[in-house]
Formats: sequence, structure tokens, C-alpha cells
Amino acid sequence: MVKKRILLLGGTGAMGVYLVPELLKQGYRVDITTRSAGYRSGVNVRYIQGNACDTDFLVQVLASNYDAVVDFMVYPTTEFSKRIDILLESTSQYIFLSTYRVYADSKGPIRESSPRLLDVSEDKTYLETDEYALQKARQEDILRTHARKNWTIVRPSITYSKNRFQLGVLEAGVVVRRSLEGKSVVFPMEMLEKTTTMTWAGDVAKMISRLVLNDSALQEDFNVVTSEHHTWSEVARYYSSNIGLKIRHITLERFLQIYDNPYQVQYDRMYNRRMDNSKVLAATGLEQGDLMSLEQGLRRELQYFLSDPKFSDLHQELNNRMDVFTDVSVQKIRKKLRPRSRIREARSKIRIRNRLKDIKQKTRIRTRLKVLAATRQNAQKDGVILTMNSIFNYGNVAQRYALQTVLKEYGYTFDNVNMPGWYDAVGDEIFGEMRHFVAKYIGGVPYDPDMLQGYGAYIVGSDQVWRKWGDVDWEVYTRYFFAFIKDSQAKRISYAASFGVDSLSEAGIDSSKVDELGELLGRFTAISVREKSGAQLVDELMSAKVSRSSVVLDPTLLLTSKNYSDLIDESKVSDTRTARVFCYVIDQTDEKKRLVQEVAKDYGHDFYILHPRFDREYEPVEWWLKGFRDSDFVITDSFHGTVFAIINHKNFVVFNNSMRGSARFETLLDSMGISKSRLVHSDVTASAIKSMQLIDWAEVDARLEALRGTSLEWLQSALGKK
Amino acid sequence: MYTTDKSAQIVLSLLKQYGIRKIVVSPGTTNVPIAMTVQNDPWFEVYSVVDERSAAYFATGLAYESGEPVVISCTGATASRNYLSGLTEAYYRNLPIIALTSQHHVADRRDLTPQVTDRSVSQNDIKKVSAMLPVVKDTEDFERCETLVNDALIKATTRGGGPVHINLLVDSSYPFTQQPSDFIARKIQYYDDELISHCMKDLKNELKDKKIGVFIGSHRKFTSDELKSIEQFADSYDVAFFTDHTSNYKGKNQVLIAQIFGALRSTNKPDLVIDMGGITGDYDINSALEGIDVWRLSEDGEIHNRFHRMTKLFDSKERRFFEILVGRKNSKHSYFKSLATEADRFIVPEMPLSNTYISGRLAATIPANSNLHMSILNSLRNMNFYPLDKSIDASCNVGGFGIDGPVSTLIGQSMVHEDKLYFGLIGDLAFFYDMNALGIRHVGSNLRMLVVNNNQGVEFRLNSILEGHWGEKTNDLIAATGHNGSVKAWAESVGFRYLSADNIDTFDQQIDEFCSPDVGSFDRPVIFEVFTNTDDEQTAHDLIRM
Ligand SMILES: Cc1ncc(C[n+]2csc(CCOP(=O)(O)OP(=O)(O)O)c2C)c(N)n1
Repeated sequence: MVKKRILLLGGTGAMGVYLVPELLKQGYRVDITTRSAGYRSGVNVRYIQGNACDTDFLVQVLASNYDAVVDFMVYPTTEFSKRIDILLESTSQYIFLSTYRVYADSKGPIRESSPRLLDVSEDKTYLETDEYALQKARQEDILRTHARKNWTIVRPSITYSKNRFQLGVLEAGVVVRRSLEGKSVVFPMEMLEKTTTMTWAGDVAKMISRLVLNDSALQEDFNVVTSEHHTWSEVARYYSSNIGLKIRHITLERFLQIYDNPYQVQYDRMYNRRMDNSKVLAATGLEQGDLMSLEQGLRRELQYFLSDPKFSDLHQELNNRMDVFTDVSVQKIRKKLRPRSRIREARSKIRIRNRLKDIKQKTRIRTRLKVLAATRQNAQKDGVILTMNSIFNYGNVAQRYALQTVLKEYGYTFDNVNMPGWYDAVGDEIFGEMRHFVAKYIGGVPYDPDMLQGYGAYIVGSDQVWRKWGDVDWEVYTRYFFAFIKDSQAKRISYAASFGVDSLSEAGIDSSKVDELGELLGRFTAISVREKSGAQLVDELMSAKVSRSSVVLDPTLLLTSKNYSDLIDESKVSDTRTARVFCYVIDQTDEKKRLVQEVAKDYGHDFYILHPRFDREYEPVEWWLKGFRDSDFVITDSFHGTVFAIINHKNFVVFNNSMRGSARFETLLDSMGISKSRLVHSDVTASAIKSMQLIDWAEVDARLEALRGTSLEWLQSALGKK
Repeated sequence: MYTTDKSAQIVLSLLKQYGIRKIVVSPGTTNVPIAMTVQNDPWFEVYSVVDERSAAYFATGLAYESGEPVVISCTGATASRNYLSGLTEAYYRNLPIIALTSQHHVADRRDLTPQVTDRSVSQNDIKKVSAMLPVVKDTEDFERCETLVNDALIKATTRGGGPVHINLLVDSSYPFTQQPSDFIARKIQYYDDELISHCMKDLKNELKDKKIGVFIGSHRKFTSDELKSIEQFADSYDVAFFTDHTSNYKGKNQVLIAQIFGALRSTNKPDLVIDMGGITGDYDINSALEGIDVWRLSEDGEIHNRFHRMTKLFDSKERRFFEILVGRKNSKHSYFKSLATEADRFIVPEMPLSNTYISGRLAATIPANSNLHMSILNSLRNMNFYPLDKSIDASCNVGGFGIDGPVSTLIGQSMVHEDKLYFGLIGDLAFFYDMNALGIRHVGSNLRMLVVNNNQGVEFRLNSILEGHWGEKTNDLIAATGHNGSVKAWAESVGFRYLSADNIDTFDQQIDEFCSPDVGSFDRPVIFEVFTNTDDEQTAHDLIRM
């Protein structure tokens, strides 16, 4: 008897590890595609190395006509429709992994026929996205309408496994990691009482393996889930008893400031998710009693995991943000500042919110009056600057200072918007100095679209305002294209705006959004960008044949070293000492540390590494500036670090930072006539640095002077001379 | 002018590293690579003696008088035959003469090639060893050549010393360079007890701060004194012992190779391997220890270079070796602990009735203080995944690796302690090969044999390469399917109690009875025949190695 052959596309993940043995037990031969090497094939298991998203590879694999194909891959919908024909044609059963997240909120247990978000949601912005829940639903629809009917749709719920553990939207790299490190896990209290369905991957695998080559499964959909359900606070208790999880409650609102996928929160985890699994049980002959209970399953998998904890994703960024809430020293100071207990605070907030509802009515009138007053007041000024308020980033603050100062010198009065963000939740014990500097030299009005109408001119920039970071809201992103301004007569200007990278896709801009952004840019009265490549991207967005933008200097370069020096001398750090080798790094690595020490050998080992971290107080901005001024050698991985090395005529190297964008370094060095060899990689050696050609500062200054001239001229003509 | 012939280079490089300078050359062509090179190399003290009989005696004189080893080099034809009398003299007087004979590498006496004689056989009392070096064409030849030359030079100079023979196959284009080569062959440093004591400090230093993996091949039972010194050694350094059941090691820090490297595919490698014991049936160890330096501990003083990375050879009693190198008792056992936590992840999967399943059940049920014999190879391999109680002695005929005698061996073993239980885990081909042994009159009721009858050598259906190439086609000749039928009639006719099972339930029902700890619970020897099939064997084999 020849064994039937099953193909798993991308089957080495949380479910795959259990599905392969289940299929073997059913007497199948199993082939698994995987991108990584190092899996060992057996007699009836074969690992095929390659990326199943790559069509050539897929076609080649599918050519050997499997009896069934189980597809674990995640494709964008456009991709999926391209390959669905070949997937269905090559096999007698195609099993598509969807998700229970496709379902809309439901009062009772969800069954296969329950309504889906895609069909009932009224959130237009959401529906415009290809967010996971919508993506899977659309792909289900593609299957259903296909001429071939040899498909089966399976929808797992949250599925935990050997190295997959979830709590709300948080994954093992946060939940388990923090517990093991003795840190609290920051969790939204509103979610705790919501109900969830977590299914053990081993059970999901059992179900899928029994749907494989099961005639009654063709053209059917199954929720491959348990019917057991728990509140998140119960789940949290299981984690506590196994790994000592501690929770720090915060409000959902604050949680969303540190978590990037609001849709997953809003359209899944904040629903009560209870599942009806009678359909899959009937088709597979399993019974609810055969399935693993959550308590037992979590214990078992956690024990296994603890014997050799390796996290597939460390979620560094999210953990850093959580640290701000949980770091003991930070908390102590916080408590001093706000002695009320957290819970009480939260309760009162809820009470306040309810009361707010009542008075909203009344305030609406008051607000309208306020808006009118603000608009009148705004008209008195020349304009307002809108840029990122990255209070945690020296370069950003310096750049805002510089533009504000230049405008002041030319006699303009400009307001500066303080964009809200997660950093607002961080106290003065960390950002005190930064806020102090901003208040003293830059000023700030809150971001409130209603209150920001009426200015004569709006400037966006500088910094990477046009880069779409991660899942940032479209509304937040398009602020920097002035989507919120009502007055069509106002001047709309960008000064040295940056995309940070060389292509729209790298900048996170989906091709479907090009027209909308192009339209917004079309309303600009003058556009300037910081990088040459940025100019091209603007033209791409505007579908412009003739270039529509100019390349200008970063604002920090518009001022001279004297200007910054005065600033330092006026400040309280004027006579503190900094080091001969000054190192300013944003992403710290051992290589960088080693290099600094190597280089510092020639400077009497006198070095200082400034690496901003969110668990300690930031040094004053002037101190940071002084670091450059009083050094002999600068090592940095930051754009503004490079700028200040140049302004101060310091010998320097800059580490290429491709993740944060490398275009900007290249444009900068190019425009200053400085050799690109200064842009180094982690393998650079101290001796290589020593042998670098000296920088011709006379040449640099000449170029800088010229560029300053054109940039300032551009700015003045854009604003109209005073 | 210096030869670039690899095998000649290896010989010359090792001669230097062993401190051998004196060489007596007789005229000829095939020894040109040696002659030309030593003529130009000031290291060597070269003598020319035309006739080979004289050259060999001349060398005995040199060696006797100087106390140094002496090389004699000659070409083909009957040249080497004339060494015989001198070498005989050297043999009985333990004089270290290295007879370096040479031949054209493509030559064969059957082709009537001139000057070629058959040197594969020679008198026992003219050399301690005869090394026929291969032509070096790849890394394997290269390593083999290094090992052979090291072996010959060690034998010439240790354990009393004496003559050795090295035969070189020479490339007749005589490749050479003008520059002396800086090539250095890998020397295997030999230590006897005296040298170990002498170098104790350095050796201990080398062991310090390293993750040490002691690999134990098949081994006779360890004495309690041996175990004590081994465990003291383990307390002094960071040591783990890589074993299978045939290692017979019952001491501390033991890990099962099949679990850690076979099933879990750990990459937690040691920094240094100490290799002891004989042949192993645990093939996983080879790839697991690839590329790591090896110290070989051989009670017979022989080079057994199983990992091809030997740097030191210890010619010592195992107990002596460990005793000398014991250090302060301050090991944290961190290497072992890290392996042990990894091993915790080994979970016996749910699987169908198969040798893999049966082994697991047997390992868990077999009573304390009994003996277990496994047949080649599948039975041994499967049993090696499961830990056995320390009081259980396990063995397998891994010496000759034959399937032809496990039943006889087991019955022989069972003669020794009538009050102990002797279990067998035997494949069907192996059983039927050796079935006549059941008729031995002495068989007692302390014998219990489990025969896994899958109607073939399923071994060959578990080999993923064979399976990939031919699958079921293997059954016919390679796995020899469908020969023997059942054990039942024969077992019963010679008075055995016969049990059988062909599914998990009936197997599970009988395994406890079969393993009952009371020697008297059966009044006869027992055979438990369990029928399995290829599909299930394959599935189980895949599952346990996932
Ligand atoms: C005397 C001898 N002949 C041939 C072999 C080659 N050989 C190794 S394992 C094996 C098959 C053994 O089959 P069986 O005893 O049925 O065990 P199974 O592999 O089925 O578990 C053979 C023929 C051998 N090792 N010894």
C-alpha cells in the first residue's frame, strides 16, 4: 500500500510541531517546507528548504501532486488570489488556515455561521486595511467563490504551544520573559474580565489531522478550537502559579500608547470570545473531554519551555516601553509624585469619565467658543511648526530648537506643536531635562486640530516626519501632510522633511495610499526635503514629472558652532567636563563599545558613551552638545551626532544604521564633501579609522556656507520676507 | 628540492616531530621523494649504503650505538627483501628501525609491472606493525595516512620499541618544489603512565575550564575502584559522560547519546573529548562530536582514532589515568547540568506498536538487577533512547556486529547467575539465524526472550537514504522480507513458554507478567513474540527522533 502524501507549507511553527507527528500517526508521509535549514528528515518526514511565498519554489514543490496541502503561510490578499489556482489544482484537498479573529463580536458562543467583521463592521478606516482578521476573511471569500471546491477552511483560536504563550495581545517574549526576569507585565485592566478561548496546539493538530482527506470536510469551514473559555484574569492566574507572573494594571488608553496594533485589541481581545466546537468534534469524532484543559496545557508547555527558555522574539521595543512603567526606581519617584494608589486612581478615572459624559453636552458649547478664540489668536502669529515630538531623542530636540531659533532671528513668530505620544506617560525623573529645554527654547501648544486652525503658515519638519513607523494610525501619520487644516488659503510648507529611507515601501507607505498622499502634497505651497532620495519620493507620490521639491539643510546645520557654544556657556553645565572621545549611540552594541575603547587608547583612554535609555534621567541637551564641542573624536550612529561632529570640526566615524535609515547619512556626507569611508560598519577597526584620510574642514565650511545660503533663502521665499 | 607528494610529506613531517634524524638511503627511483628531500634538509643526518642488506644492519649499529631510531629507505624490486635479516635482528633486540619501502602507486604485480613485489604479508618477527600508506587523494586518505604513520612511529619507540614497516606509494611524476615545505602533519602525542605523571600539571591545565565530554564505547563492566577514580575525576573538572547501554557506565554525570544527540539534536558540544572503550552501535555520536579534539585512552596502547581528531594517546590503565589527573574537588558540573536540562525535554511520544515502543516499555518494566541482551542493530538502537535502572547490565554483540549469535550469547550469559533474570530483545532475522541455540540443554528458566518479529530486517526500511531510493523495493533482497514465519512451534517444541502479541493492548497486558521480578514465576524459559509491521516501525522511528 502506498502511503498518502501530505504537504505542509511553512509547517515548523507552533501548530506544525504537533501536526507533523499527528499526521505520521495517521499513517501519512509528510513533507514540510521551511525557510530554515537544520531540520532532520526521517523515513516518512521530509523537510524541504525554501520559502513557500516564493512562487517558483511553490510551483516546484506542488508539482509532485500531494494528496493534501495544509497552508500555514500568511499572504497579502493580492498574493493569495494569484496563487489560489495552482494551490487548488495541485492537490485533492487544500486546507486553508484562517483565524477565529474573522468573527465579529457575538453574545453567545461563536459558531461557523456567526457574522464576520468583514461583513458587518462599520469602521470604514478599518475596512480599508488588510489587517489580519480582514485579510483572512477576504481570502476565505476567494476560496468560497472559486470554481474548484476541494478546499477546507480551518479557524484556530489563540493557540498556545511549546514556545507560544499569550496573555491578551502579549506574547511569550513579554509575558514569560518579564516573569522570569521578575518584572511586572503591564496589562490593560479593562481587558482582564473579557473572555478568551485559548486552544492547545496539540488539540488543533489532532483536529486538523482528522480533517485531512476527510470527505466530509471538503467545501466546509471548521473552528478548530476548544469550547473551554476563561477570562484573561484567570489565564493570568495560571501564569502566576507556573512562572510567577505579576501584573501591573494600567488603563486601556495608556496601554494603547505603548502597543502598536489597536485593531487586534479593539476587534478581538476586547470582545468576549467563546466558541462552539460541535461542528469540528462531529467531523473528527473527537469529544470535548479529549481536549487538553487550559490549566493543564499551560502547565505542561511552560514546564517544557522552562527547561531551556529560548524566545523566538524578544519584543525588545515593547519591553522597553513597559520598563518605564515597572522599573522600581522610576516607580518610587512616581509614587512620591502621585501618592494615590493605582487602582483608586483608575476607579476615580472611570467615575470621572461617566461624569464627563453628562457635562459633555455643556462643554461642547464652551469648546466652540474656545476654538473661535484660539483661531483668532493664531492669526496674530506667523505660523506654527509641526514635527515629531521625540522628547527621548536629542537630535529631534536640537532640530526643533534650530528651526525655531532661525525663524526668530528672521523676525517670524512661530508656535510649536507638542505631539502627544507614549512618552507623555513617562515622568520627569527621566525626561525632566529634555522637557525643561523644550519649554525654555521651543515652547509648545498641545495637538488639537480644532485649536490649530487660523495660522497663516504651517511648517512641517524637519526629522523623519514622512516615514510611516510600524502600524501608526493613518490619522496620526497624515497630520504631517496637514490633513487636518481647514483653511485652504494658509501656506503649507515642508522644511527638510525626511522619509529616512530610499523607497516608499521601506518608508512603510502602501501603494494604495499614494494617491491620497499625492493629493495632500498637492495642496502644499512649498516643499523641501532633507534627502535627495526624499525629493524623488515626493515626486513619486505626486506623480510629478518635474521635480516639485528642493533639498535643504537639516535645521541644525543652519546655525553655527558659535550659536551652540553660546547655548552651552549660558547653561548650568558650562563648566562640567566631558571626554576626549565622545560617543553618542542610539543602538548600543558590544562592537561599538569595543571600538570606542580601542579608539580611546590614543586619547588617554578618556572616553564617554552617551546612550540614552529610558530607565535613567537624561542629561541636559546642552551637556549633549558640549560632548561634541569639547571632544577630539566623535563616534556615533546618529544623524544628528554626525551633524554636530561636522559643525564642531571633529574627527569622527558614524555607524551605518540601516534599520533607522541610511539615506540620510549618505546625503549628508555627500553634500559636505566628506568621504563615505566615514560611514562604517560594525566590523571597522581602530587602525582602519586611524588611517582614514583627514577631513578638509575648509572645504566642508565652504560647502556648508553655500548650502546654508540657499536653504535660508528658500525658507524666506517660502514664508515671504518679513 | 623538496617533495610535494602528500604521503611522503606526512612521513617526513612526523619523523621530525618524533625527533628522528638518522636515515640510511639505498639507491633507487621510487624512494626519490625521500632521498631528494632529506638530501636538502639539514635536519636529517643522511647515510648512503648501496646494498639494502648491509643498510639494515648498518642501521642496527647506528641505532644501538646512538640510542636513536633510524630510518632505512629503499626502492622496489627485491631491495626490501634484503632488509629481512637486519629487521629480524632488530626485532629480537628491540631496536627502533623504521623500514621505509616504496612503490609506484599505479603498480600491481598481477599486471607484471616490473619491480613490484607483494609487501602485504611479511614475517611476524621482523616488524611490530606494517603500515601500507594510501595515495592521498582526499581528506579521508590524508587523515588515514597521518594515523598510520603516527601509529608506526609510536610503536617503533614505545613499549620497548622495535622495527616497524612503512610502505609508501609514490607518484612517478615526482612532484617537488624548490622551497622547503612548511607543512606540518598532525602528531599524536603518546603518553604512558610515566609521561602522564611527568606532564600532569600541563594536562590538568588543559582540562581546566573546558567542557569535557568523556565518550565511552562498549566496555566491560567497570570495577568499583575504576568507578571511584572516574567519579573523582568528574568532580575535579567540568565533565559529562556520553554513553549508551553498552558503555556499562553507571557512575555520575551520565547522558544518553541517543537522547541528547539523536532525538534532541543538541548542539551543546564539549570543548574536548576523552574517548575510551570499544566499538559503539550509537552512530549519532560521530556527527555530534565532529571537529573536536580528542584524547584517546587505550588500555591496549593502540591508536583507535574513531573521530579522526586525536591529539593525544594515553597508554594507561583507565583507573591510573583518572587517578593521576584528579584535581581539586570543585567542579560545578555545569556542562553536565546543561545537558541534563536539555535531556529533560526528551518526551516519549505516543506511538504505534513497534520495536521503539516495545523497548520503551521493556526498559521501564524490566526488574532491577537483571541482565539485558539486545541484538544488532535496531533493538540496540531503540533501547538506547531509554534510561535503564543502574542495577541492570546491558550488552550487545557490537564487537563483530553480527546478527548471527545473540541468542547463543544470551544463553551463555544466563548460565552464570541462575538466580538472575536474563532478558533478550532480539529481531526476527537475528533470532532465526541463531534459533538452534534454544536447543542447548543447559537453558534455564531464568531466560526471557522478547522477539520482535516484523517479518524482515526492518533496519533497512528505517534508513532514510535507502528508503528515499527504493522504498518497498528494499524488501526483496536487502531487508529479506517473508522468510521465517513464527517462533511459536520451535519454541514450544524445545519446552519454552510461548507468549505473543500483535497489538498494543495485548502487548501491554502481558509485558508485566513477562517482566515479573520473581525468577521462579515461570517454570521454563520464556519467549514473547511480538508482531509488528513496517509502517508502524517507520512511524515510531520518526516520532521518537522528532
Ligand atoms: C551475520 C550478519 N549478517 C548480516 C548482517 C547485516 N545486518 C545488520 S542488521 C540486519 C537485520 C536484522 O534484522 P532483525 O534481526 O529482524 O532486526 P530488525 O532490524 O528487523 O529490528 C542485518 C541483516 C549482520 N550484522 N550480521
